[in-house]
Amino acid sequence: MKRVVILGGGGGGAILANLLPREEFQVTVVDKSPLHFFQPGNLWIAFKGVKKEKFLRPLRELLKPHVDFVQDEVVEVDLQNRSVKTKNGKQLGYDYVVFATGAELDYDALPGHRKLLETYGDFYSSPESAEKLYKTLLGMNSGRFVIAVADPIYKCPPGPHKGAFLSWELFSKRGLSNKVKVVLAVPVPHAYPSKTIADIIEPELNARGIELHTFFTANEINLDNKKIISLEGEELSFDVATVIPPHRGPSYMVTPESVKDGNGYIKIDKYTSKVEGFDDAFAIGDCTNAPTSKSGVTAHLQAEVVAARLQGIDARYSGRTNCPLITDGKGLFVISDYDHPPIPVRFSKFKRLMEDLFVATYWSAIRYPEFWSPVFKAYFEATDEMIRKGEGW
Amino acid sequence: METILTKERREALEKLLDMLVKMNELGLLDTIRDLLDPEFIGRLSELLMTPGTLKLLDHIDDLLDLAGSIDVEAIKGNMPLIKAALEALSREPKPVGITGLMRAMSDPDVQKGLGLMVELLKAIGKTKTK
Amino acid sequence: MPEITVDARGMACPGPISALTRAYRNANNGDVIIVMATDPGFEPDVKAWIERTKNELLELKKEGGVITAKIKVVAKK
Repeated sequence: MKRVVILGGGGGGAILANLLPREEFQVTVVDKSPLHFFQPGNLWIAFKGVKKEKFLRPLRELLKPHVDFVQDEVVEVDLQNRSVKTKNGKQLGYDYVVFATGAELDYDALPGHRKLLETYGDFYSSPESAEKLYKTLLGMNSGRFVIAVADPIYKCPPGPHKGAFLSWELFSKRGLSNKVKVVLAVPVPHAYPSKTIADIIEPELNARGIELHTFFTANEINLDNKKIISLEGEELSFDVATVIPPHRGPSYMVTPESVKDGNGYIKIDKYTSKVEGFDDAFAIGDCTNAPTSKSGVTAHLQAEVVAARLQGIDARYSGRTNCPLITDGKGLFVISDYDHPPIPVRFSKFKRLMEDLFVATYWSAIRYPEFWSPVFKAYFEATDEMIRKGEGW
Repeated sequence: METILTKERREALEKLLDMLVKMNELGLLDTIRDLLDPEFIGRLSELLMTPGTLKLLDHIDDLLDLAGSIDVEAIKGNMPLIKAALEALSREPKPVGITGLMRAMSDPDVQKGLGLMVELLKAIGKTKTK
Repeated sequence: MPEITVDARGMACPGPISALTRAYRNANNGDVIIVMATDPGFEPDVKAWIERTKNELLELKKEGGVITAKIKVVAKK
């Protein structure tokens, strides 16, 4: 029996734990929280007022009974001695370790950011913060609601855009689309990092009167005169604002330090998820330096790859993305991989339905990944074929 | 337990259980259980999730609107025509020159067909003049 | 003169322009950022970025499917 210690029971770690056959692996998941949070739920909480409980479930219930769950915080990972230390003094040895602790959000990097977060809430830091943002938006009857980005590498690349569309929908439903201006500011040259996708999104932003600012990397927040100042030297005034913070890799100590890159992310082979320099250590999800979108899809696909590799199968992750972008009633997916930029896609009701279906089956997919694997596999293979043929969808 | 099983819930639960008994007798519960097999689900998914079906399904709302806008009663009678046309297309035709065309035009079937083509051309032309 | 290399070859969405902007956030005036990318969209993006941010494009070359941009950071406040 091989001992596998998985750090983090989120969208990557929990799936991996449940995929590993119990006959071959003794699996332990370490997570500081007893609850598993469906992070995309922040959008529904912040912009539709859905109660956070809908997106929170006890991790113990989501992990298969044979998986050990240690509710504790990781403080040190010693890759050379194969040991993990926790805050409460536990020491876990392993045959394989998998980093799946996600990215850390730094609200202290930008001057004024923490105060901004505490004043209005946001839809990135926590479900409680998302609830606060919803209350703030409900109290907004006029003025400018600004969504800005401090660093172009953040989880869920379409997050700010979904925030813009969904907040517009919220104001629109309250009859305030002429009174409240939704402003979206992004660091890149067009509405979305990929021009192909930007060309599809921009008309939708224009049609709704959402103000778009490009080349805007939020750098400083002044709450007294209510302005966000960018690296590029521009200013945006706001009445309510939320800024997606710089992200970093895990802050707990990892020995050797060299496995972390300049932003603290765990350096991996982008195809196999193997930690650079080690045969018995892997990393999946937002905590890695993989050159692809930080998203649940990435974590899920990497979890499948690591599960296969631990069983001796040469599985590889293609860098495949499938980021959903939703507006009122329609949706699209950003479909790309390491070797192909995003394919042209159209907004459609069908894609929105697919996304709704995915959200509805999330808990089942975590608990019984082996049941949903064939469905996801068929979907990814079909859409991979579209990528290979250079087709749109 | 008394508070959980209200009178309405007890009634609903009894009906549900009776339904399950019936399904079990019919062997349906066994069927459902057997269908919940990763291999079967995999094959079904492969069938339904191809680039072709995904592209088709992406337009399902438009396709349904289009299908709904067609006057089915009007075209029902013409199905044999469409069938005949599609089947004729599959036969390798011999190339026909001017003299061949003249000769063909004395064939009553071809004449009827030509009359139909004129109606077709008129109908198409009308949509352009609107 | 500190050189920052950004290897964005074989990068899926959000792609090389995001990797450049992120490196720019952590760079100082006088630094040289070298970005390598295989995404053809990077060429128009980096040109647009240079024009807008007023940083210096020292070199832009395309070889064997790889676009390499050498950028001198001058415009940071």
